[in-house]
Amino acid sequence: MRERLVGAVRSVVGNRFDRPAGVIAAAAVLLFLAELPMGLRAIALPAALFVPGHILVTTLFGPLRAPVGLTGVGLRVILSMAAYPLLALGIFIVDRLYTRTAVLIAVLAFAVIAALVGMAREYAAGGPVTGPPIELDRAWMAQARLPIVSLVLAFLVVAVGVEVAPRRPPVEFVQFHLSGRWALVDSAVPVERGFEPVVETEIVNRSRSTRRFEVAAYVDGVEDPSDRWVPVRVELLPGEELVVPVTGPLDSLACRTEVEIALRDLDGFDEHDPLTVFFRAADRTDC
Amino acid sequence: MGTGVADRPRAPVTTMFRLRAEQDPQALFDGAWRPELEMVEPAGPEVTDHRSNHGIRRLLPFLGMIFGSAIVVLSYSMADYAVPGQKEHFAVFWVGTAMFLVPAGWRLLSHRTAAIDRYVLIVGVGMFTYVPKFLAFPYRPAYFDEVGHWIQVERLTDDGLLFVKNNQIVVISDYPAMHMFAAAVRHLTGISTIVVAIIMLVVLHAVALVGIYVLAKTVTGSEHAGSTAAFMYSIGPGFWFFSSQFSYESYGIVILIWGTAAMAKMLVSDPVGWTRTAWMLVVVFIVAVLVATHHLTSYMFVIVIGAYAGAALIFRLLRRDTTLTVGESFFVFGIAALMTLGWLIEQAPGTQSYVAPFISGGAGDVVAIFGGGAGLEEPEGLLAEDLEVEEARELFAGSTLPLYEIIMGFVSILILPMLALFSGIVQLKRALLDRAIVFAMTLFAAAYFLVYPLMLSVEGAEIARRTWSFTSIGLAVMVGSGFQVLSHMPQWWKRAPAMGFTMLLFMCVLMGNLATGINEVYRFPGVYVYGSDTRSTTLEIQDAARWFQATQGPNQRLIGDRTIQMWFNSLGKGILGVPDGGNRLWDFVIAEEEPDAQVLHAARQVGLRWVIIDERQAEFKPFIGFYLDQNEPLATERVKPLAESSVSKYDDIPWVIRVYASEHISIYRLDLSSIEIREVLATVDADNARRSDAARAGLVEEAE
Repeated sequence: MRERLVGAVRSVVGNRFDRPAGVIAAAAVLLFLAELPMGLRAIALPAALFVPGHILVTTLFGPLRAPVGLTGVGLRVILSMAAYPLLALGIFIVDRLYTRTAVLIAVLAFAVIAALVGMAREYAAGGPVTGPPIELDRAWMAQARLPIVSLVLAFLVVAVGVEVAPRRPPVEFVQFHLSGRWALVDSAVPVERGFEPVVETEIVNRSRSTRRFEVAAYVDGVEDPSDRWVPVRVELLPGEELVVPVTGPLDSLACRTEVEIALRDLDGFDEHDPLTVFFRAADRTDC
Repeated sequence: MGTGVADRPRAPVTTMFRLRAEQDPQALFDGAWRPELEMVEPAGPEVTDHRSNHGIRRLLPFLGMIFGSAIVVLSYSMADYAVPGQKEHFAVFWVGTAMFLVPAGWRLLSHRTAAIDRYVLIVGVGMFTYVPKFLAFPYRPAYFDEVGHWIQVERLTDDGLLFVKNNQIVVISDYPAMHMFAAAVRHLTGISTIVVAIIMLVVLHAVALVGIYVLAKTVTGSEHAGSTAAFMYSIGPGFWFFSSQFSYESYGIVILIWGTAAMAKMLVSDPVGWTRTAWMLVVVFIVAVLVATHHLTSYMFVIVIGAYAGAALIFRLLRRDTTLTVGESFFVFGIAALMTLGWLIEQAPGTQSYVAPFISGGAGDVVAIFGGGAGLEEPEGLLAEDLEVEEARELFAGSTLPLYEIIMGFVSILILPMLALFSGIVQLKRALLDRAIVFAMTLFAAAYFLVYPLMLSVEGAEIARRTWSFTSIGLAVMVGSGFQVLSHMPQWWKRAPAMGFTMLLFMCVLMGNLATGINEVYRFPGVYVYGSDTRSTTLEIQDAARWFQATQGPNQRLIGDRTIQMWFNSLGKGILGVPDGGNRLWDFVIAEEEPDAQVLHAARQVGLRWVIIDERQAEFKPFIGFYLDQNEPLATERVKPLAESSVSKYDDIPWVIRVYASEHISIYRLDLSSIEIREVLATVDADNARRSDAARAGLVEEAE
């Protein structure tokens, strides 16, 4: 029963997926796998690296002359890799974007054209044309076991090794930047006299320890400590991000008043350069 | 030499054949044999029932593959923790590498190796050669070009637009084939670009060696000559690291290898059968892909096809090899030349100006070294003899490689011609050169040695290294055809030392090629090195670039040092302000004073909005020799880092807003619309207007 079923399928798709229906079937397998949900779709990779080349080799050489063995596999893989750019140029020529849908349609169109060529070849030959069946020799398979298992083990050694072998930890750092709309500030910010702006800053602790900071702002040209904006003290756990608003008076508003916002590390680690924001009096039209 | 080859009845040739001598090893070795092709059935893989295919001798390379990989992993872990000056990781690396490559190479050199073992070893060696690059910088693009290609694929996947400009590597937008391939795989599989890149490179490395195997087997007719050639190519220059970067060369060169193999297949196929036409179509297909892949690769492929066609013509005229169809060879050559030229003129006219400086610089250096400076223009303030000293390259100057690698770097330069000479003698003795395709490949191999003098110049060395990736294909085939005789030595006490000595030479060549081809900083991970691309990339810079992109959006025009350029152009999706001799935009980064009016004017012209400063520029000299650009003042000539004022110059400038600060990175926004800048630029505009009026007046006077 099983042999009859296999025979029936082979008679349609060919011994090596090399009859017109086989070419379409190979493309269908690729497209089906590519339509799986995201994540699962990755199993389409072997097909993506083999099917376009297989279609091309079958079309160019015909089922009877298509290279076999290592040459055949290598040729199919390299032609698969080379086929996508030409499909992309085809998509470009018909003035379409190179999107996922376009790639899927191009692969399908490619397979259909190849199948038509195959049908023409079979029509000219007066009957089905297919290569010899693939036969897996038991002795050969027994001999293949050791090298293939070794290759897989070596692959696993590298894949696992890169994860578990000790590596130098990344350098620790702390980001300090203007946040929200303030990150977009591109010139002196106009403010009404007497208005106390609230400048949003953000601290991101990319170190492996808890860090304590003081955010303090200094208005350019103002010496009196009482005019200093109220400093804010914060503590950040490793990886934590915190928005820190600072506010204070701008008594001596001119055409351009600089406010420096400094991040002081209370544990004595690296000092950061202060952020700068410029303000101008909203009623000054000559600035 | 060659008597009777032309008169001999044409051998029945199919896609599968082997040298008759394989069944008569003694005849091959004692020189009594002449090459003759005989058809073999394209049956399944051969199983060689020889005692070397059982027991420990068979097991060794596979055990070496597993344990060698583990030791190489260990060496990279050691390298990451090594302090400058420590070199133990080099030794461990070589132990791991030799553990696999020596037994694997031995088996590949042997004609008794079972087919399946041969195939898996070829694939295994190919994959193994990618491992060091992967371990050095796992799961991330590391080299400058890699980052450019990576972002090009990301953009193509995101927006679907082809030929989008990339101003980090200006020429790659005209050669998008690799990006198209990677984007297609991303679309089909949903895998991230970096994983696609890793898989692509692993597969390419394996397929490259399979391609060399197919090529050499086709050219020489011997399976184990094919696998010897594959092994030879695997130890070739650039294969371990240069061809391991995610770039268009790595992709293009493997396609070129298969194009070369397809061309050879075409030439040995039945002249009247469809198979020959099919192989010809494969070659044309590959030409079409290569012209859209990489400029140099497409030109080299035209040269390869030209060599085949030329050899076919010469041999036909001399009536030494009548199996070749000269017309088809020239037809393919014509198509390849036309397509390459057409792409260059129509699609990629900018390639010429991109490539020309390397070629003219290299040629000028060589002329200066050998001809007393005649080929060089003399910059102001430098005498020609100073220039010779400046431009002549001292090999391994300042190298941090261990002494034994440096010695091998020099020794391998001598070993390679000896390997080629031995192979040439074998080819002559066995009359292999009476076949046009062997002759063509040997000619191609000779080109490997023609560029040796270029290694003495700075730019020439780059050209030499690039061409070696291609010409080593010819060299591999030549060595494969020559060293196949070793395994046929009848007495084991001669054969074993000969093969052992050959393996020793091969390992020396590999060590020398790695030493001459790549420095420690590009080869191993380790401590931070400013301006090195690989080790100057830190999470701090990458996070700054991500913040920049997230808050400011794409296409912001910016300037920064080279590592900043890499990551703010890619992760930050910014556009680089490209400095040149005319606009001095580099002053925003390297000048010690605040930018002057002319520089501000240039910034306004190009729409520069951002300056990103890495404060370590005042601490270290850049490893690569320049901060931003090869043409910047004092590039490669600095003896100390920039002054502290190059970093602090923005502290009190009223038109610069510092929006971001981390330990080492500051991001400044330029407010070019500020009153202060307007005043400065007004004077420049007035000055420019005055000059242009004067020039116009001068022209009018001249006309009158």
